[in-house]
Amino acid sequence: MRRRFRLVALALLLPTFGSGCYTVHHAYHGDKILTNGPGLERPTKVVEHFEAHDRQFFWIHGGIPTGEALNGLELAAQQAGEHPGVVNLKLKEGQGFTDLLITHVPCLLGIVCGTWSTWVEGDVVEYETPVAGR
Amino acid sequence: MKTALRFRAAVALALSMALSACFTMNHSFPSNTQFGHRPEASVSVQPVKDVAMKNYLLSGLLAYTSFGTKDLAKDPGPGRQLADVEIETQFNWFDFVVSVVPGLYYGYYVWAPRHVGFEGVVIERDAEVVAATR
Repeated sequence: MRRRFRLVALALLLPTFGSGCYTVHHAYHGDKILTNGPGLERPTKVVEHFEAHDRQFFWIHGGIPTGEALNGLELAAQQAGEHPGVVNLKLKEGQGFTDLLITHVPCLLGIVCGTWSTWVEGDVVEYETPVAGR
Repeated sequence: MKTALRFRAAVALALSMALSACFTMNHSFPSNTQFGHRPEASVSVQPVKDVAMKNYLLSGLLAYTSFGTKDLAKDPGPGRQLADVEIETQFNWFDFVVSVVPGLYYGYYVWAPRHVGFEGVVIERDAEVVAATR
């Protein structure tokens, strides 16, 4: 009985120590312009609309993240490609159905492992008149 | 009897999955907020940052509206906008303890907090935003 209690206590304590403040940092320091506004300071034309998604897998309640860190703004900038920026940007993160399924079923309610996602949506734009030097 | 129990279990599982699959946080900011690259000819007015605990019910299906929830970024006013915005979502020790410990993981379904913060600068600029054409 005492052994079982210890096992339960350990099962609770392990993820507590391992939870390690799972953090997602959305930041971008490149030369693309990313805005949630409808346009830029010069006339632009929408080249394409995009929706992108990235997922990160972690162990023990986020204590040990694996792979590349989630960064929605970097993901949005990648969608711009050769173009100067993104307008109407929407950024969200959390757990979609697949994340929930992974986290709650094989990962045992997130104790063993889990996943977290970020989603971005927006319009890639191009200047209507070319800017000198670009 | 077994069939009925299985059916109930399946319905309960499907329902909890359907309810929980919405744990997503929309990072919304005042219009024309710029993430990363700052607009040309803008003047930095003041740095801004804030952190708030966002609270969710039923694993994220509903956000508590009056329990420690607040809008992170306020509209900086006419002629001003937010720029260089970076966002950080943290599942910190407090969030973990609140989500996990009460009720041995069932707490997660009652109260699921996350700490969300941002930092950036308020800028002033004369140029108007021109909406992108499609």
